[in-house]
Amino acid sequence: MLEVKNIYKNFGSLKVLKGVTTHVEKGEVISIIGVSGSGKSTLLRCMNLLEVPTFGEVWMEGKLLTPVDPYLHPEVIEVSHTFKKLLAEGYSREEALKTIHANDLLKEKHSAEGPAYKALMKEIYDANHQDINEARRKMSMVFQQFNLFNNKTVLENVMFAPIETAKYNHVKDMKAAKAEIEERAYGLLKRIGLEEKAKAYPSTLSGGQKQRIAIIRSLAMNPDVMLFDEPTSALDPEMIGEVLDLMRKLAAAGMTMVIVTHEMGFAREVSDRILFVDEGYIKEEGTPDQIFRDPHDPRLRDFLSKVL
Amino acid sequence: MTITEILRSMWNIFVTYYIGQGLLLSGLGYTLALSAIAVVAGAVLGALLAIIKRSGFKPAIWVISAFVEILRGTPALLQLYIAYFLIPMMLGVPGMSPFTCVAIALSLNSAAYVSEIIRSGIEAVDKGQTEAARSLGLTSRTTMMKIVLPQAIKNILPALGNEFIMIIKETSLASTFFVGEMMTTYLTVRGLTFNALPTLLDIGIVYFVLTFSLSKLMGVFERRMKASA
Repeated sequence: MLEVKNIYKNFGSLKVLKGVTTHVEKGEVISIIGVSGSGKSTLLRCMNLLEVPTFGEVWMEGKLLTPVDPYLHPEVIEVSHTFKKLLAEGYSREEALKTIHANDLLKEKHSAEGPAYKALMKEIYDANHQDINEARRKMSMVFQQFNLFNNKTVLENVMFAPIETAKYNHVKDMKAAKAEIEERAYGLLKRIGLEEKAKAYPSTLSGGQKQRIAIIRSLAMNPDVMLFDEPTSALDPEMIGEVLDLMRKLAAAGMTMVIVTHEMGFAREVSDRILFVDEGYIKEEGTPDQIFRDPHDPRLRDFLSKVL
Repeated sequence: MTITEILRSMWNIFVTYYIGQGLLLSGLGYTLALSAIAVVAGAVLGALLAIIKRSGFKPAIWVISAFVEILRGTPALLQLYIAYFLIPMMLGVPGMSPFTCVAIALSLNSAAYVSEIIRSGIEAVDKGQTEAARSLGLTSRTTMMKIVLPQAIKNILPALGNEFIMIIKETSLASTFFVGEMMTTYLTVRGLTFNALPTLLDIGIVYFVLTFSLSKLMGVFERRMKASA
């Protein structure tokens, strides 16, 4: 459903992700664990392009969200000037590909690699690309700092994105659409027992309430996948339980979820798969049992000994 | 001159010239007209500059930054003098009235300050608000218009009110070109009475009453706005 292919992310000279490849299947719950600064949040934020990867591609339901990364397409490299030059210098096809990969030899400017290269890059992009705003409507995100809209009431927070989306889609009967969205929003608020807060502003709510509302704000979009960026890290300890409970229910209902978390017990309990991200790589990946009972990577062992 | 003499002169001059000859009304009229033009034109132009600057088009950003820095870094009086000669020349209108020149110059000066007020007002809105909206698939335009700007307005309006008060005071510079606002009335009255100090004190009171009541009014407005979320 969601595919991350060889993602690199640099912030200036700081290399945060150094080639990450993974995939998320429908109905899967994936936890990403690792120390602070390991790149786990950046990886999550690259999935919906809140951070645009420096290299690599992100695919959602068979649609390309990022620009085309030529290094992932040998057929593109083979029409480049750089590749032809290497062949002329006596390299074999394999050697030339390897050299180009190892040294990032392709020119950044498409036209510098010749018209065939430029045309093929455009062809791949046009055939597969999806508008990022459209894609994001199907993979909503929950943030550490909740980020409820301060200028809107709780109900408006939940209804805002669905209503704007209906407007983008030129829905004819907006009145009926709004009524439907409002009914759904109330239903979601009822589900978390906060319907009496519908008219309240976010500033009057507790952290736990804010985060649960942020979660149903995402749910209101009927997402195919939900991304959670340390959803309980900014909460007082007594409020963590209510948020994790809601997430457990979502997981049990079959929602596809990717969760960056420091809650090891929770990750172990709900995850189908756990990714250990460290120093910009996925150092180890497996079922909760494999990760917690039989960790191989020494850095993972060290990490687990500190957090468990 | 004793204090009582000064006070008596202040009263006499105020009654005879400011009320009797209508200098208060005309002076205040020109002051408020100049300020209102400068603040409104400045706000519109300033907003435009801030928007263009946020668009990220490099050459435009350089030009605007230079404009803002120069106008903020040179005396307003100097700018009025330069505008007085330059604007009629550039627009090809040789007989342009001093009022028009001063109004344009003050508007440009105000635009430089307002664009900075708007920029910092927008930047003061938590980045998480934008990220949340964008992560829900909303366009940058919707995010700006319906999430960021409504919150930025709360930072911008009070600062814009202060800018209005600053401009009211700055319009006094227009007296250099005898435009007719409050400070020009001082030159007029002094020429008739040869009594400078009481006239200046009269005008001081008028300016103070004007700016003080405006800032109180804005205080009320601000508290209301805070109460509404």
